[in-house]
Formats: sequence, C-alpha cells, structure tokens
Amino acid sequence: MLTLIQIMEVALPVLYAGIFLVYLHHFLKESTTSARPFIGAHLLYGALGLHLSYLITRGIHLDHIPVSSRAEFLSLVAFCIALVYAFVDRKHGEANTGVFFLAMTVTTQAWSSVLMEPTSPAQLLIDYPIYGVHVLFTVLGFASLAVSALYALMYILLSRQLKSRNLGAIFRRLPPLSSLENMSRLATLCGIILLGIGLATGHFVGLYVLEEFNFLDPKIVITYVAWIGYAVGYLIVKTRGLSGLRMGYLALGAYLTLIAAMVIVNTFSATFHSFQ
Amino acid sequence: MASHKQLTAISFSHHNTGLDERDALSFHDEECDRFVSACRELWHWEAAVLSTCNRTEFYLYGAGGDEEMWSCVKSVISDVRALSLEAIPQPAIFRDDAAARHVFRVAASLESVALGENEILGQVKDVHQRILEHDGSSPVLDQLFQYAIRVGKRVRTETALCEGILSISSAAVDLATKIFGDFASREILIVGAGQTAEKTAMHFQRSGATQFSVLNRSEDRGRRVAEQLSGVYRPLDELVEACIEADVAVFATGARDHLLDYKQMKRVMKARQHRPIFLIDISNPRNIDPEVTRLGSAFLYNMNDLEQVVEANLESRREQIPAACQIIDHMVEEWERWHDTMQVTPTIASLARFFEQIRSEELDRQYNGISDEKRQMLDDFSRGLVKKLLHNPIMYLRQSVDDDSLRTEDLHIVRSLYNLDSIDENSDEN
Repeated sequence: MLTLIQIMEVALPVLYAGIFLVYLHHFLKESTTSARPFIGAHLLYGALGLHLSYLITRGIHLDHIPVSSRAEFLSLVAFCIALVYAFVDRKHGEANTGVFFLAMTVTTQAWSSVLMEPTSPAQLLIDYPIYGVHVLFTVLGFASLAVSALYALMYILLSRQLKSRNLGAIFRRLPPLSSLENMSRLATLCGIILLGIGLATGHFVGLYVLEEFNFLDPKIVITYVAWIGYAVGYLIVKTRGLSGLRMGYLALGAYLTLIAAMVIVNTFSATFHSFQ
Repeated sequence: MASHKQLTAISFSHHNTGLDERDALSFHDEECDRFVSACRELWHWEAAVLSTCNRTEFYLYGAGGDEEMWSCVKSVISDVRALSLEAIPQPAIFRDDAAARHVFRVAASLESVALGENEILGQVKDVHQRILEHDGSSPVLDQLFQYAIRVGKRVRTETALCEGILSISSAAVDLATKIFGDFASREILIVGAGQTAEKTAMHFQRSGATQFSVLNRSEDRGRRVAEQLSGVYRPLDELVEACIEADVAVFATGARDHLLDYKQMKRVMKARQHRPIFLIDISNPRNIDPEVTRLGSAFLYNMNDLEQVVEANLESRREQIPAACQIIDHMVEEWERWHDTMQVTPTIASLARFFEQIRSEELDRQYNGISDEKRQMLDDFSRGLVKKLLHNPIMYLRQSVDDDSLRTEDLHIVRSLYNLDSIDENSDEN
C-alpha cells in the first residue's frame, strides 16, 4: 500500500501540472470558438477522484484522516482549492479562470509531495476521527473563501481594464464582470457553510474531546469573527442587492485581513492548531 | 478547345469592379441555375456561381484556355443577365491551384470587405448545396467547395481572424456583454430617438435585450422607437430616475450640452447602491460629462473610445492573416494531391477498360468448340494475365501522385500509347 501511496504522491502534482497546461492553453488560445469541447474539466474531475483516493488510501494506511502533518495539510489544501473551483466552474461553465486555481493547486500539491513522509504522528486523530472532520471542513471553508477572493481580484482587474479602456489580454480572456461576481458569491456561500461546519465540529472537539481547551484562543476568536463577518456581509449584500466594484474590494479586503490576522497570530501567539 | 480540363475561377469583386457593375452582375438563385445548366449543356463543364453583395464569381471545371472560357462565360452572363457584352467588365481569372486558393481565401473571409466576417462561409455552403442539388454530377467542384468549407471552419476555429467587433454599435454591445454577460434581465435606456440611437438599440435587441426605456425630447418620435422595441417612453426630464433603474444607457442625441453631469451621476450611483452601469455616449458633441468615469462602477465609453476598440479589433484580425494563410497553404496542398489523384483516375479506368476489351475480344475468338471447363480456365488465365500486365503502370501512376512526381506528359504518353482518348470517346458514344 505504501508503494501505491508513493506513486500517487508523484502522480498527483504531475497530473495537476498537465491539467494546468490544458487550462493555460485554453486561456491563451486565440480563438474562443473551438469546434472541440473543452476536456480540462473532465480531466480535473479525474484528478480530484485520484486525489480523493490518495487521501482515503493514506488514511486507511495510517489509520487516521491524513491532516496531521504540514505535508498532509498542504495536500488537503490543494484538494480543497481544486474541488471548490471545479464546483464553481460546473455551476457557471467559465473555464477561462481555471488556470489561476490550477496554478495554486499544482504549487501546493508539489510542495506537499516534496515534504511528505511515509508516516505522521497523530494520536488525537486516531482516537477522535471527528477532529479530522473538523480540519477537513475548516480547510474547505478557507479554500472557498480564497477562491472567492481570487474571483474578486479578477473582477477588480477586469473593471480597471474596462475603465482605463485598456482592453488587453485579461479583458479578452476573463468572463463577464457579472459572472465573476456570481462565482465569487457562490464561493463565499460555500465558504460560510463549510467553515460553519468546521467551526461547529471544532466546537464539539473542544468541548467533548480535548481535556484543556481555551475558547479565547486568538485563532478561534479570529475565525469566529471572520465567519460572522462573512455571514452578515453575505446576507446584507444578498438582501440589499449590492453589487459592483466596491463589493469586489470588500471580498478581497476581507480575505486579506483574515489571512493577515492569522499570520500575525501564528507568529506571535502559542502553537495551538499548528501543523508539524 | 484544348482537351485538358482545368479549374477556373472568374471573379468580379470589390477589388476589380464598381458597385454599379457588381449590381448588374449580381445573380439570384434561378439565374445561377440557368448559368450552370448552360455551361453543362454547351461545353460539358462543371459550373457553380457564388453571388453575394460584394462579389459574383464563376467556378468552372472543364477544357479550355483562359480567353476561350472567358468569352464563353461572357456570352452566358450576357444572356442570363440581359447585358450587352460591352457592359461586362474584365474579371480577375484564376486557374488551377490559384483558383482553389482563391475560393479558399474567399471562404476564410480574407477577400471580404470586412476582414473576418462570418456571412461568407454560409454563402459558400449555399453554393455547395446547390452543386449537390443540381442535375448531373460535379465531382471536382463538389470536392473544391467541401475543401473551401473546411478552410472556412478551420480559420474560424484555429485563429482569431473572425473575432472582435467591427462596427461602433456592435462594439458597444460587445463591451456591455463583458460587464453583464447577457441582457435577458437588463434594462436598456435609450436617450434620443434618431437613427444612431435606434440602430444601437436594435443591436441590443438582437443580442437578447427585452427591457427598453426610450427618453426623447419629441414625444412622438420617442414613442415610435419605444413601440418598435416593445419598450416604454419617458420624458427627457426623467433622465436621472431612468439612469437609476438602467443597466445600460445609450446617449445619442443632438443636444449641445451635457445631459448628465458628474453631480447628477453621483446621485444616480448612490441611489443605485453603486451597481455597475454602462454609459454609451455616441453623441456629437458629447452628452455625458467625462468626469463621470471617476465614479467606481460607472463605465463610460464615448464615440472616440468605441472607434479605438473597433480599430484595435481590426488590427487584431490583421495579425491573424498569416495564420489563416498557413491553413490555406496546407489545404491547397491537400487539394493539389486530391486533384492529381483525380487526374490519374480516369486514365487508370481507361487503361483497365482497354485491356478488358482486348481480353474479351480474344476470348470470344477462342471460345468456339471448346468445353465449358476450358473456357473457365481461359477466362481465369486471361484475367490474371491482364491484372499482372496492368499492375506496374497503375502502381507507377498512383505512386507518382503520392510522391508528387506526376508529370502531365506521363499521362499523355500512356494515353497516346494505347490510344485511350478514342476508346473513351467510343465508350461515351455507346
């Protein structure tokens, strides 16, 4: 089984890199009226299937959900970004943005494969699999918010090109502003739901599994504040029908603030929630 | 008339004729059929006519030199279109591969007035359809137009020659699409009811817009345009309120001052909670204060901006010409190969017919007084012998097509050696 796992660790970044090239070609090609259907999405579904098989196989081999080491965490991040993108792409059918998400996936999975060790210490995960579920949903939630922020960035870039009348490559390749906005919103909604499940399961772990748990841990506080901020913001935007460049800046700014807060907390506070 | 059949294209287009001449030479469907029938009946040519608003072209496959064919075609044109011979201008004439290259360039829209336009490919397909529907087969022109359609499709899918918009109102619609995706649930505001405003509104309607508001000083004209668009008329003093509701606003009036200034637009943006709005100002002088662009989600394009977009698109299309030419070069090579094969196929068929004729004549002489068993034996033997005798010449001809070494003289020698032309004539008569 270990050999199979190691083969998949090599195959995954190679496969994602191949799919990245397919999406890059699609993004760069001159004509937008191809006679052949785009195969990138199907390849991505295949790669996600393989990645899921890898995570399950490694989980069976180690007897716990593989989210205990930095390498495992990175692989999960890569999987989540690709999964959220594939979902949003399936809903909106805008393959021209895939190249950006695939670039993130390739980089993260390649880094993971380089760092990956055959085993990872995780007594907590073996004893309490719910902890793994918490990590899984939290990472999925953060990945969704990252996807949302990247769509917001594309919205801002396209808006600026339209305003400056500099209708270059990005103008020609990116989908319409309304599509980018809808995709960003869909990813935000996914993020709120998934992060919400992650927080709920984390709460459960804190209350019933861990002997000592501090709900005022800065990371937990930041995550709760971010989740509430996103949820309230999403409801306001949805009910009041807000739209446009300001919403783009808001989505991007919110995510950058969240990441900056996490980096500061990671740097200056205790090592709770850190991966080895 | 020379016996060697050639492909010929006779072209009247915007390159070599004026608008009046092209109008006079324009063929409708029934005239095309009359022309094709005349060419078949009088000279046994394959013929096809491509007649569009910018070109009338005759594609012919048959025997004859440039001048001979042109004078024949001229007489038929004169007859079909009831024109005097003197009224018919001198066309551009392309022969063989140049003719094939010409029709490929036409299908690729490299010869069109608007470089990269799409309509021509449909017109080439129509010509091909008429070739298939016409009585009597036209194998060479059938194949030629199949190649042309393939060229047209490849150029459109493998290059960006046909991408980007080349008219001001289409460019405005294209930019609006980049903001809103589609117009199904978008409100389009038309300020002004002149021709320009109407034309732009029609472009939006053709692109799927259904909700229109028309603002105009003159109520009658405003209502007329609103009715045409199945929209609503509003007086011009409701401009700010109309802008609050609209997603796209087209300004095309003769007003001498700004109808919408920065302060008004600021109010509009606040009221619409900064929802994006696309402002198209195609008036001269401008109707919208350029300062409006300072407002975040207000996208303002005036006439100059749209002209620049069109020019940039045209430049992008021009950049695609070498790529389109590469596809055409490749397809001309393929066409040449097919045509060469077409040249040897009748000779191979005549050779086979000639040998079969000799075989059956000789067998008839030997059949008297011999048993059925011996007849069968002679029949099998003669078939095998003819097959072996023909193997090398046929292989030589086919091979020379494959490796591109076929010379017209080789075909003439083979045909002369066995007097194949007279055999073909006899078989035609029979």
